[in-house]
Amino acid sequence: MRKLIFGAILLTAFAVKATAQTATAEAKAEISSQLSISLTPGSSLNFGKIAVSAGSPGYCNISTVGTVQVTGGVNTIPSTTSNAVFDLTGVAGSAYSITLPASTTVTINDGSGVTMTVDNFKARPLSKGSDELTGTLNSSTGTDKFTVGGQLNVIANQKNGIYLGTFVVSVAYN
Amino acid sequence: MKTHLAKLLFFLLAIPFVNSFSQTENTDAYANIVNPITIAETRSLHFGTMSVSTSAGTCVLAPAGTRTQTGGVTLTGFTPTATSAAYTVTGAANTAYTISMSPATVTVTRSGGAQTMTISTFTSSKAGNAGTLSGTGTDSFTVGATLNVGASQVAGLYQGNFNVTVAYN
Repeated sequence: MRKLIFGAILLTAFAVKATAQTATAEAKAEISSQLSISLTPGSSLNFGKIAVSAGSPGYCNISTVGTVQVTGGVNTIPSTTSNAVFDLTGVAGSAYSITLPASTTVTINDGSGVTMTVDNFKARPLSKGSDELTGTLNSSTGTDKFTVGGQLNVIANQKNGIYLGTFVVSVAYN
Repeated sequence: MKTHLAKLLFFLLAIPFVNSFSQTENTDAYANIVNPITIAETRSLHFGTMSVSTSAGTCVLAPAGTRTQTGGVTLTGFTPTATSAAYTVTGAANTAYTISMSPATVTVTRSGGAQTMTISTFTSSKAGNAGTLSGTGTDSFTVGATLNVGASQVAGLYQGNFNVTVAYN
């Protein structure tokens, strides 16, 4: 009888021992280098000098490779034009996307508040060689750049003067 | 005297019989043998890749494996991709058990560096961290957590360890 009871106690103790188990697990996380964008120093989207006829509005378009095209009453005047150029740095070989504004306003600098709008923004990443809103950072240097072009909307009898404005582009990893 | 001797003889003879009676007596001894509960990891916890600005932020990895970002953290989709941790549990059929994760705050350290981040708020796919083993004595669950990323956290792979314990209720 004693032997039997003793046996039962032993078995119960064994059962208690096996009621919990722990697994040690690994936790990981990876921080990627920040995707940074900066305007190439000195670059800007510059439509140059244009003239507009008295009675008809028009457009001045600068492509992402700097080709200027005018339509309607707008005529070009020989002058310097340029694209805005942006430099990117981030994780080598990674894809990124570009967000361009739908439009922006440029305002005459004489204080009269007259404006024009710029729209139809386009971007051409060096890594793509065509107008795209995605690109790929160089697989060894982690850099890329893209040019931006757009279209200036000129109304008939647009006031004479220098118009300035800013636009915001943003990039993100895909 | 003869009678006494006969009585003594009777007792002497009777002792073995008494002993044998006690041996045949039914005595029940109960022992509830429980299958030991075991846990095995089938997938490890990985928050995937992300970048961070000059503002601190978090990456919340749900037990289902989906990520959400807060503050200066921007989730990126490079490899390795994010996965919640997954575990299988075996033990006694139809038995309830509880899950616990420890420590409450885990430090992960950059590979090849001294920079650290912390992981907290571990959550399991089981409501109230309570599960029940199936009729065949098995179950599984997943675990997520929150990664706390510092402002301008240095890029790199960060690693650390935590414990997951299962126990019968």
